[in-house]
Amino acid sequence: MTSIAIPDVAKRRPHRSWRLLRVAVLNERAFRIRLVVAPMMLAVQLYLYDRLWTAVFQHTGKAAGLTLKQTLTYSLMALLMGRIRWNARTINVRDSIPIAVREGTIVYWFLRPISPGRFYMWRQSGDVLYGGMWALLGYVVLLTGRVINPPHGVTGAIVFAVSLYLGQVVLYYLGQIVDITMFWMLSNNGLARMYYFVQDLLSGVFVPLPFMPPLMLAIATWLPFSSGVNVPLSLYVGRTPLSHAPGQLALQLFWCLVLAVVTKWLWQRASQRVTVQGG
Amino acid sequence: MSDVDDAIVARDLTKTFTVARKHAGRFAALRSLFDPVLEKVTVVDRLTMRVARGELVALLGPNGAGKSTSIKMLTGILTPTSGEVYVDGRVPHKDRTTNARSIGAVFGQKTQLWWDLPARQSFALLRDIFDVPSALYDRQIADFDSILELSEFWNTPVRNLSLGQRVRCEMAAAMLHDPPIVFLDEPTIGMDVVVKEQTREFLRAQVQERGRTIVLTTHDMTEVARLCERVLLINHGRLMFDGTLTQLKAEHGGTSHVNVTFVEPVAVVSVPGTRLVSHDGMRAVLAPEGATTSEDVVRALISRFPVANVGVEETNLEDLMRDVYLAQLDAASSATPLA
Repeated sequence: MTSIAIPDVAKRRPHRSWRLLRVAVLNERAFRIRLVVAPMMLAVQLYLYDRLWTAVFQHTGKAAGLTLKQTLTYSLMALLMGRIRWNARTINVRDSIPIAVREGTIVYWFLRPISPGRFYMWRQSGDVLYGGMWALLGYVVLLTGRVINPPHGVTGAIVFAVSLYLGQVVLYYLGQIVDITMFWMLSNNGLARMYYFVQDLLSGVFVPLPFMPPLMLAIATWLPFSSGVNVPLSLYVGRTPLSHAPGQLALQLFWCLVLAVVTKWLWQRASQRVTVQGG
Repeated sequence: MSDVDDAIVARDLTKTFTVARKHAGRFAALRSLFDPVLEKVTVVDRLTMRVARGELVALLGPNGAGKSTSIKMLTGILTPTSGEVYVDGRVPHKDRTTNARSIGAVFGQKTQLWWDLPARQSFALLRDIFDVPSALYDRQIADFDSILELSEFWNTPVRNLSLGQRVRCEMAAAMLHDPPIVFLDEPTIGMDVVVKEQTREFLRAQVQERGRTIVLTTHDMTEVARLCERVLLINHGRLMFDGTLTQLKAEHGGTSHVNVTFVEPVAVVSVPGTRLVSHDGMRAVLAPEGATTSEDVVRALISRFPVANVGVEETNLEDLMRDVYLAQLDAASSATPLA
């Protein structure tokens, strides 16, 4: 037998796994029709919301403490923010946790020199960056067409950017927790659909939270969902004064930390109970 | 020999799952949901084995024998309930990310390739995940392509590949980062003979030229006969046999048969060192026993009887394995059931 020296593979450390970010774009490129459908869908949604809120405000100047322009800004930007995590909502994506667990390919997640959590993070980040690109494009179009308000100065823009980032981290962790339940449930389609409905409703994607009845508003405020959309948008449109920003950002940061700990704990539990169906 | 010298060491490796049994009768589904009957099932039971570096061994057993569970413990995917396991000197489930660099794996029909992307892009993504140096990556790709002929289809999305093409890509993907140890769990299931032979050639090259250790589970006995010198036979989670195919044949009656046709009817057929399997006057079948070889029997028949035709029939490995499995099934059914 002519054997070669086996390289000391254990010494190499992964520093290129960030390149997994590109999977999002590669997947979209594999189905080019999506590149046409994505902006079309977004345009239709934005147009319909614009018409809806314009009709609502036909006979009133202000509702729930918001003007028509503020409401349009909130609603249309909420739609754009929903677009950011559109592909990251992993109900039917093949290299998502739900599908990987169901098909048994999750075993490969545990056979890589990066943890399953790290792999998930890079894949989700890629999807979020791709979705964010469409959202940014929509934002520029709406801003240029003066359909929505610009941010309140440079400070407002920075505060909004920070709040938007923290909100996305909160939504990332929440979605991840739903995905990890697959290790116990083996089918979480129903849970995932219900979760995303609740998330969209209580974060302000469907309707701005100020329009909610007091009880629902109170519930939404105490749950992490509002940190995802309502907090950054309330700061953007001026419903929450910038002087309140530190408290709001601290609340978002609090949810980020709590959810990060919960997620880490869940991954540890999940990795102890990997079962693969059918051998 | 220390646990580091061998590629794989397992001692009393056991895996027990807790499964929920369904209630019977009215409201069974509801009762099962809120008050499940939990039962412990031992899938792998005190498995002890060693695999040396550069060895290609077959892990055999009938469906449900515990082969895949054993592989998943050896790869670190599953945590054993008890026992010790070392792969490349490490406890695989305690250091999964480091262990991942030492091992590669193919799990039958489960793909690690990105379904909608060309296989070549999956290779590039795996290169980034495993941080494979460019020179090594290029060498590996060229090397794999020379045997597996991947370049003919690696620009096709994986979802459009045939099974044989996809499995060849899976093999390449599993070894792209140059792991010293590779686990193949029924990799050639459902493939045609041409592709099977191609993958066998590939595996032989990986062992003989690259010094890899390969653990293969398969139900394809032709594959075992052509690839593996040593077989590990497990059933009901227990190691039933560890040795060469020749030893397996010797221990489980897997001998050759000598078929003889006479020129004229022969009343008594008796050859020392043989067992008469059948005899109908003009024809007889004899089985060599002990140290007697089939060649000895042929020589004895020709010298003693008016032989018109004589032939040696080796016992089919499939039949041998079936007999071994059935014998163990009988033994197990009469023994105490597993906890």
